[in-house]
Amino acid sequence: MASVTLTDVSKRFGDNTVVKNVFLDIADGEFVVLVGPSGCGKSTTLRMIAGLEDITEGELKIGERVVNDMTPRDRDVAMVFQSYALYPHMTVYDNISFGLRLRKMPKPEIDKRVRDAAQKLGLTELLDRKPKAMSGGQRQRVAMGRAIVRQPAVFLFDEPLSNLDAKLRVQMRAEIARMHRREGVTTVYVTHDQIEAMTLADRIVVMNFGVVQQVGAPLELYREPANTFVAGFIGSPSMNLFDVDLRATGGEPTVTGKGLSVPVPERLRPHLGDQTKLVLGVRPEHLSEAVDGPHMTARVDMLEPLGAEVHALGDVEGQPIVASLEPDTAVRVGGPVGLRMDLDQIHLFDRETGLALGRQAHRGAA
Amino acid sequence: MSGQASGRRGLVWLPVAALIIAGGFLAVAWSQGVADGEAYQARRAATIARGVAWVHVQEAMRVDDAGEGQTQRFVEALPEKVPGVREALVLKGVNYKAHSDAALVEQRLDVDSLAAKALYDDARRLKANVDKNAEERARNPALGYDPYPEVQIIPVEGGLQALAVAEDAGKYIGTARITTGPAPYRFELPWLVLLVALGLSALWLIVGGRLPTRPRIAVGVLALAGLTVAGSVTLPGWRNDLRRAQADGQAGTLAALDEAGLLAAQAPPWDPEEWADLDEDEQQEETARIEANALMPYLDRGLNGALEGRLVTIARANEGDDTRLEPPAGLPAGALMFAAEGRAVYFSGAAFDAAVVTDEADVRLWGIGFGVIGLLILLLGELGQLRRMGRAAVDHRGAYGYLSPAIVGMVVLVFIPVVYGIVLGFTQRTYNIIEFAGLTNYIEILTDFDLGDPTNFYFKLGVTLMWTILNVGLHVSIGLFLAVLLNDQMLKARGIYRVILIVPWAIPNYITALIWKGMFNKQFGAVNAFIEMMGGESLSWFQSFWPAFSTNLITNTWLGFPFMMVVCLGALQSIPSDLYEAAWVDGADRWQRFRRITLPLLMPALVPAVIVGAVWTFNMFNIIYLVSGGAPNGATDILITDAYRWAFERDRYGYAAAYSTIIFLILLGFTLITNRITGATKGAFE
Ligand SMILES: Nc1ncnc2c1ncn2[C@@H]1O[C@H](COP(=O)(O)OP(=O)(O)O)[C@@H](O)[C@H]1O
Ligand SMILES: [Mg+2]
Repeated sequence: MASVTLTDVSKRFGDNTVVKNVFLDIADGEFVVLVGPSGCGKSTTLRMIAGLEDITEGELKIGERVVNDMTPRDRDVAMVFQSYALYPHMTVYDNISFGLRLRKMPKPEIDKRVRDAAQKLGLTELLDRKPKAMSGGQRQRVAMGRAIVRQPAVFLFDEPLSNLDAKLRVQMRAEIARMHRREGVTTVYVTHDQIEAMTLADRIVVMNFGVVQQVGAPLELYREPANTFVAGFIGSPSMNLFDVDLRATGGEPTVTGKGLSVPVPERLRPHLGDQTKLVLGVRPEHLSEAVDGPHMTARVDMLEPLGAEVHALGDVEGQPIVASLEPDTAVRVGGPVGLRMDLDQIHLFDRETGLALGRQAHRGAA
Repeated sequence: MSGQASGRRGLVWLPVAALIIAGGFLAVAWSQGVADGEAYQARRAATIARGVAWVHVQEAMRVDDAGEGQTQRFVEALPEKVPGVREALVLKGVNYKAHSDAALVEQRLDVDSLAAKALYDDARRLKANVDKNAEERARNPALGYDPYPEVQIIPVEGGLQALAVAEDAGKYIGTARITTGPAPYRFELPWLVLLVALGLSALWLIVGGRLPTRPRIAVGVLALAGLTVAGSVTLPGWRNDLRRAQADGQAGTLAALDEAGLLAAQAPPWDPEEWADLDEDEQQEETARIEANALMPYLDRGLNGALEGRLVTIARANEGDDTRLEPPAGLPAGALMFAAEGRAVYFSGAAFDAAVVTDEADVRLWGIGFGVIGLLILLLGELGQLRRMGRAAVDHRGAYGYLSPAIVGMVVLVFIPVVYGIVLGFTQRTYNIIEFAGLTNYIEILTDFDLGDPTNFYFKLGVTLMWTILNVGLHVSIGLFLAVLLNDQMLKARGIYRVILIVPWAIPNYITALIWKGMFNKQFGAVNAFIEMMGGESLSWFQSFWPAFSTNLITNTWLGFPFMMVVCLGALQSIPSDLYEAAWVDGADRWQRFRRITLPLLMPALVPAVIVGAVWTFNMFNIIYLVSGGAPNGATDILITDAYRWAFERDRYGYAAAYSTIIFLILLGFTLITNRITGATKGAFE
């Protein structure tokens, strides 16, 4: 087991910089999730940690060792691939024991470890099968088994669940969480699914265009997104964002946008600078139906009843909005709805830099 | 209700089958009968004319007077003794040397008569042919036959006229002519078998329906088998009428010879001393066998060879001995021959019997063939199989329609030749006579263990196996090595290398073979030039086994590796790169990744390629034939090239066909076993 430290790590393919100046300290035993839209450089970052891609710039340490020039086989990491990458010509047993056999571990020890892993993953019955004869979920388990038996310093997962159906995904997610709790191995996990990120991570690293946007515990990212990108990316449905202007109305700072105007809450006032062009962010769950004194009035295009709540999708003078309403709401499609924001929960961002008021850019981000 | 209706419809199969059998018998009898009828007349006329010519030569060449007038006596006896012969004569220049009308002997032709003019012209033309043949033979001693006809047959009113040249060693002695009337026999179709078939069918339709299905099928099978057996037993009988008529002609000729005192006066067949050694019974027996011309129809059966003068030159003298001729292999025992200057005519009574026997077997085979077809129709029809096949053909007529060109092509180009080849393996062929020989060829091939002989089967098998294993091994290892190199993403200009490396494969292999053969030339070849340049000593590549074998091996390796390379490249590209990455992370170094991931994953593509490659190489005719040509002394020939030599250089078609069938069986066994072991074709059926 070991910590993983990335110091100013960049990756270029030709002229294309796909990972830019990443600083990241992953503590021993920590579960870190890299999350971000497709193509943002998550896999590349993970593959650099694995040693499958060269590091163009910066330094990577696993434990106390700088491993930039080490091949994957010497880094003591195990990786689970999105495609599982099971060896099609080998049985489950051989797949799982492959790494151990290469390391010339004594046969009884291999057998013990393989059976142990198979036991944990419910694969005991399948040890003689070939990958071709198994379901997606089973293959996924084999891929994990192959990683577990190695007892490596670091586990690396690259979107391991994205090829499973929704139900299996939830199940395997729990499985992975359990495994991590049990083994306590340092884990770097890549996904584009923020729910996976939120449920699994000790800490989440949000990336966009190769740049780390924010690093933090799941709830921290939810409550205090560092910028508009993180605000929009974390949370489902996404945070509503409106362009607003800061005005002082009778000494009281107020932000005004198209069809809405609210006073800046007390807690945000200290962060107000001389920037007047701001972005107001409010999560759908922090909007509620208002009979009198609404902050804004939306026209409803669509209702998504989910049982415990209803998502109303619509617009405020052409600006899209999503609100999470009570299940028994009388709002109808096509009709207007008056909405109030929970002013304690709103966010203000600098429209030019995208940063939350009072925040610095993350280290390494340009 | 419907059961009965279908039962009634089910009854058609026996009549259909019976009519097919009867129709087949009629067709065989008719085609054989008509063909024989025509051939018979022509042959009979030709052989009698030749007989006359021969007798005349005997007389003319005698130094003593013993044969004086024998031709005339023979000619005069002919119309009387041989049914259908109307006139016989021998002409020299413009004079009759002999004539069945004794009054015309030593008379001049009536030059004003058109018929006489035609005879004169024909005789001159044949005489010219004798000269031309002599010239041709002088120019080309290897020529095994007379290229210009020395016999002529033309149809005349109600019969034929046959002219034959009487010559001795290219020296013209005269021209014999026979005129015959219509064939002295009537050919009748065997209608009886048709009647029996019809009767059987009628009976069947009336009572067949009463029987339950299974016993009915049994009865039907028995009835058809009976019809077939009865038909094929009697069928040769009808044909033998024809033969009998022929025999009458031969007996007549013999009688005429006897009448002319020729049989008694006949000199011993070839060696007077040998003849004198025989006791009287033996001499008589031998003489009796001189049933003039009986062998002729046998020898040229199915081919009107007599018309082209080939008949008399079937056997050539062995070199350096022109009195004692080797009879062609396969000639029935008891045949005698008369030799004159390296040409021979065969006369044999035994041969006639043999011909009849062969004919009977022939015709019976046809009869049994039709019987089997009839039985199949009955069985398949009664069991509903035919109707199902018919329905499938109708239901999927579109598909079968599209397939039909391919089906016809396969049948004509593949199926028929293969079956013909296999059948040929059970025969022996001598000149144009093909005889059933059972397993003789196979036994001869497989029981010869003289490994010192380069044409020995087991020696050849060993060479072929070594050839195949070394080739395929080299193809695969070189192909795999290059494929792995080419598959490396880092390699620049991969496309260009790939094209260059595929070039040997794209060039027709005989061209490559000839180029390599040239390069291995002792004096002018590039290989020796290179060796000398390097300070080595140039080599006679085709003088001994190993160098010659290497030339083939090098050429075929050059030709063969691109295929394996392309197969490996394709398979390599289908291996997902993340498998390598997973193995790398798992701790596999470069060699371990190749050994544990690449190789096993190549196998599914490589094994079928190796099987195909092995089969191709096993039968790689072009390279062996063109590069080493079997040198030295046939040692580097492989099975397939030796099969070719057996057929086209050693003239043993049946033996060669049996050889090919054995090769086929070896490869079939090889493929079945490898398929079973590797399950290589399994993917296609999963
Ligand atoms: N081998 C490569 N060569 C060139 N570009 C690459 C290569 N691998 C990835 N990229 C680019 O790097 C960017 C990040 O890729 P990746 O890390 O796979 O994104 P993701 O966050 O979806 O996992 C993408 O734009 C991709 O096109
Ligand atoms: Mg990815």
